[in-house]
Amino acid sequence: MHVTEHEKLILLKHSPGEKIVCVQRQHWTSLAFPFILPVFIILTLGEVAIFLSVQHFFVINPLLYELLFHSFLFCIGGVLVFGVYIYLFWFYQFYIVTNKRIMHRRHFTLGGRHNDEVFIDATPVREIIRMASNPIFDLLHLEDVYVYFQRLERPEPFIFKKPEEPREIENIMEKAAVKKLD
Amino acid sequence: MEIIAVIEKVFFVLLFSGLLAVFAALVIRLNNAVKTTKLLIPLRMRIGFITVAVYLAGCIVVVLLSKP
Repeated sequence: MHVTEHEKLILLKHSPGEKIVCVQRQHWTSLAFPFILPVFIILTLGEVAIFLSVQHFFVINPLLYELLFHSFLFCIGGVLVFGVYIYLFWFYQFYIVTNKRIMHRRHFTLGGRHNDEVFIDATPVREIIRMASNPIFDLLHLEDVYVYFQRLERPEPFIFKKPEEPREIENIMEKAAVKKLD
Repeated sequence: MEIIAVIEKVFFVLLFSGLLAVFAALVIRLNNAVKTTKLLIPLRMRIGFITVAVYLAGCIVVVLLSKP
């Protein structure tokens, strides 16, 4: 889901002369990865419940069936609440590049960084690295963009983690490194 | 036997109530995010969130009414 023009306009209070160059969310596939383990647990629990209900090897206390069923319901509830959090976290998280600064904004988070902001004029870009952490991500074009700066106060890179269009961000940061963004 | 069943019920009611409390905290946090960004989540997702709340409340009822 790409960020619309309307959303771009209301996301940022501009300083004079500041212009938004690019606004991106994380790639939508980042919503799917946190669910792999919980879904696996639910499927395993479901299979155990089915197996226990159809087998005839040993007699099972009815209370155990109830316990399993309620645990199953609880696991589904937990996954649903976790899913709501993951979706909202993704929906209200933006990478914003303007002609003066780059920002990572998290408007919906329970703890952690809310805002990471680097002013390009004060911290010139030294190095840009676009990389995928594994071959599958490489095939799906789920790449991270690392931006390093020529400044001792900011030794750690600014990381665009799996943005929607990593190549676009790389191109924009390259322009920012060699000349000012218009 | 009955005492164990009651303990099991109380345990799961507390668990589901905890999940509902977490969900309510998320909704309150969402309200703040909407105020600062003025971005509303799509209608489909809002319906989904209501469904999650109904599911959690329904689970509490199921636990209370269940008989081993």
